[in-house]
Amino acid sequence: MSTTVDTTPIARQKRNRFMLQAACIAVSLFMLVPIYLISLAALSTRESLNEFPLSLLPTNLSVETLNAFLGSTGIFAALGNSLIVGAGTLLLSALIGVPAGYALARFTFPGKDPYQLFLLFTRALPIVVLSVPLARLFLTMDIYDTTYAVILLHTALALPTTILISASVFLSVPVDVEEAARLFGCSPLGAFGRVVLPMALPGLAAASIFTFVMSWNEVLGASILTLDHRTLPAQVLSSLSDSPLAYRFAGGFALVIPSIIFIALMRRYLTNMWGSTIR
Amino acid sequence: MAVEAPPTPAATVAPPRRRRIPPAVLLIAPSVIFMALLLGWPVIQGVLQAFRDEQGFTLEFVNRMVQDPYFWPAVRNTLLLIVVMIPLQFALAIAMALMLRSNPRLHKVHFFVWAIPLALSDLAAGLVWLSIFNDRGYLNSALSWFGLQGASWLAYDNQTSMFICVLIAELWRATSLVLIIVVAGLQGIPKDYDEAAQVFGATFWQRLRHVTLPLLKPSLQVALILRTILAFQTFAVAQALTGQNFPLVVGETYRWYTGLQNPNVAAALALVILVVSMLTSVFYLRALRDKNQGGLR
Amino acid sequence: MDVNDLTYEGYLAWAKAAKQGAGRPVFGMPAGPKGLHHRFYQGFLLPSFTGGQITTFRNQDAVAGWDYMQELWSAMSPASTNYDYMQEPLARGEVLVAWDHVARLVHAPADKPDDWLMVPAPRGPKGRGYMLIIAGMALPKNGKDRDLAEKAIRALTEPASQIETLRSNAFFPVVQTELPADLTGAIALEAAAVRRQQRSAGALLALPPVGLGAKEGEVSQIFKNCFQQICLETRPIQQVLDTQATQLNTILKALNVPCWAPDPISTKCEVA
Repeated sequence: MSTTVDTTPIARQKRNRFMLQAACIAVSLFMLVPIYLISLAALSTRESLNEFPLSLLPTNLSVETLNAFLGSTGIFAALGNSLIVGAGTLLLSALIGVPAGYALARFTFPGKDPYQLFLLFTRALPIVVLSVPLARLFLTMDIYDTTYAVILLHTALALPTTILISASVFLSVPVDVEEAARLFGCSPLGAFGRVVLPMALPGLAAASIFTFVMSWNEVLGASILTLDHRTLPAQVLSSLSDSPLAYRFAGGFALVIPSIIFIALMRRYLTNMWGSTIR
Repeated sequence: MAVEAPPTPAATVAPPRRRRIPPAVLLIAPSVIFMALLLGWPVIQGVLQAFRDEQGFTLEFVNRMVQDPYFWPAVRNTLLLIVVMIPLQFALAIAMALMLRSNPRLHKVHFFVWAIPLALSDLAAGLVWLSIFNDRGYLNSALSWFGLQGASWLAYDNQTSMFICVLIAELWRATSLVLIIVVAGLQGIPKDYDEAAQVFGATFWQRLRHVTLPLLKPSLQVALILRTILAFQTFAVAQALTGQNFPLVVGETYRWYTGLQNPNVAAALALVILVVSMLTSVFYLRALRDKNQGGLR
Repeated sequence: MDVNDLTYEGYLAWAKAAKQGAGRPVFGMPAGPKGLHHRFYQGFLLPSFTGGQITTFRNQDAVAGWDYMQELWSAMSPASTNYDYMQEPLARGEVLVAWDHVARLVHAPADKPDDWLMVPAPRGPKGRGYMLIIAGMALPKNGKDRDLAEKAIRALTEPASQIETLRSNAFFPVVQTELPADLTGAIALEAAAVRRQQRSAGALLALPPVGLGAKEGEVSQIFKNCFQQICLETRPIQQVLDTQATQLNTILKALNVPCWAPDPISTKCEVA
């Protein structure tokens, strides 16, 4: 304890500061340690994974299982499919979803509340059940087992979030700016294109990355709708479920890496997408 | 966010001057058509599949579902997991967001790290935690380096530890989604309110209870609905960790569809999930809306 | 005790003694969600105890069989409910003795075949039940290139390609052939054990359910449910078998198929 009364609040503030740092580091460790461990498991030799207790430090590193995993057939073709599906979903859902989001943010119309509820409830049905009638539909349309089929399914799944997120992004763009543009002679479309869209773009970009990530991670539907044109996670998981544990860990690691990259890319926009900026 | 969007700026633009199709309808029409075709139609098919066989209406599939020995455990586990996980997850996410708000050192790095699981598929997350919790995994290894005897965390006869393992893994995987929404919501609240309350001598808990949380309500509502609906959908983590020992309703849907190849019972199970998710969403909307209005009066 | 001629009683005594000796259960079985333990009940345990698979599903012998299973389970590693392929826990040394499909065992002894034993399944009161998988090949009528298709089938059934399948996948040849002497260690272990099992006294062939189509999964699930309720939840055996038999008969009645080995091939298969 200090001798003067005045320093107590400062001491307490210092202590609080310290606790804050410690808590942050604790949470970060909780998030990072599992990632460290799966990397360790993926980069260990198969023999060392059979030992007990497992080494907690990278003493026995090898890329043997990871290489075997990456060298297995179809990984790179599947990566291509994943990118095509992700990009296609992103474009299609933006094309359909952004206008709807704009409408939600700027207009009142009859049936607005039911529409929003409808959006949420469509997410409440398990994908397995949706996929089966869809598979039948796609078979008759002759697009079964193509990337188009997966793009359509993923767009349907991503649309509700795209619409809701872009609505909140547009809400954060002040109406006054748009009105001002109209006053100075812009058409509604011009005001949207020249004023609103540039301001909304960071948020929309974040929403798109979110859509891409959702498409990347969706496995059940993609594996029901395709046979030969699997996306990467679907490919990995269909082949992994019957593989030895070492390969499963390598596969898990291979799926963790892209997610770290995604987050690194979208970090700055992450909070924009929920319409955070000045209201 | 949109569901509880403040109505003030919405109504201002576009007074309809001429009588023709309102622009809003044109803007949302494509999404409605698209969703009706790709989601509405399969949903109807699903409902029909659960209640119809070659002879017409039947309750046979619902009976099969209820008589299955895994059904009631699955319902119990699903509800238990959601009731315990959601409050924990929100408490954690709000705490994390408030921590970030106080600008700790390296707060950008922390935020990045905390957001990583957001982009991770549930299957990958299951594998991550399997490497830790399995009998010869990293947790037991770490204990053994400290000279402690490990335990079979995921054994079928140890329901409590199994539940806690699934809970920890789900907290790790899915808290970031809530965190992002709460952080965004916090950014929308001017710091002046909080500072004003501070000047008047409100304690941290008082400020949290009476200033921050009420202002966060719209964000929390969206996060709650989205998170709960998604929580009803995920089973990969539980399945990777416990196999069939900790059944969840969605996992059962999947098992009936792929393993047992009975799409009718799978559809009946899916309807259970649909109905329960709808009920909880409506409950959230009601509960949070009523309080909100009470606060304004 | 001859390890190549185990009885189920001897197997149980071994499991108990091993548990006591090692201080932890060291026997295991593939009772995970993708494990094949239902094949153990369908093709090994129940035929050995009852001489049948479906018709005898709930009789006194079946109760004795499940009673045995309950006791055996208490001497087994509880982590078994997470095992899909026994070769992994065996290779890691988590369990030391296990039953599984040969193709799901063969990687365990791959590195050090001299340290491992592969032996026939135990025998019970009604014989040594064991399961074989039947694979059939067919050509659609009016298919194109019939000659080539027939050639493909003929090539697949050649002893040489069957041996190649054995070498790379550990699937045992389905045609009569002499095995080469230069098989790798693990495969040689397997081949010897399979031969010994087929030729042993009292060998009783059982098949996985035949002719059930898409309902095969649901029938196999019945056997897994029995394990779940009898071994894990320790419910009264007769009661479990009665309720599961009702379920089983509902499925079988709708299908109306004849029984398969080891049940007598009657016109209609159902639980007596």
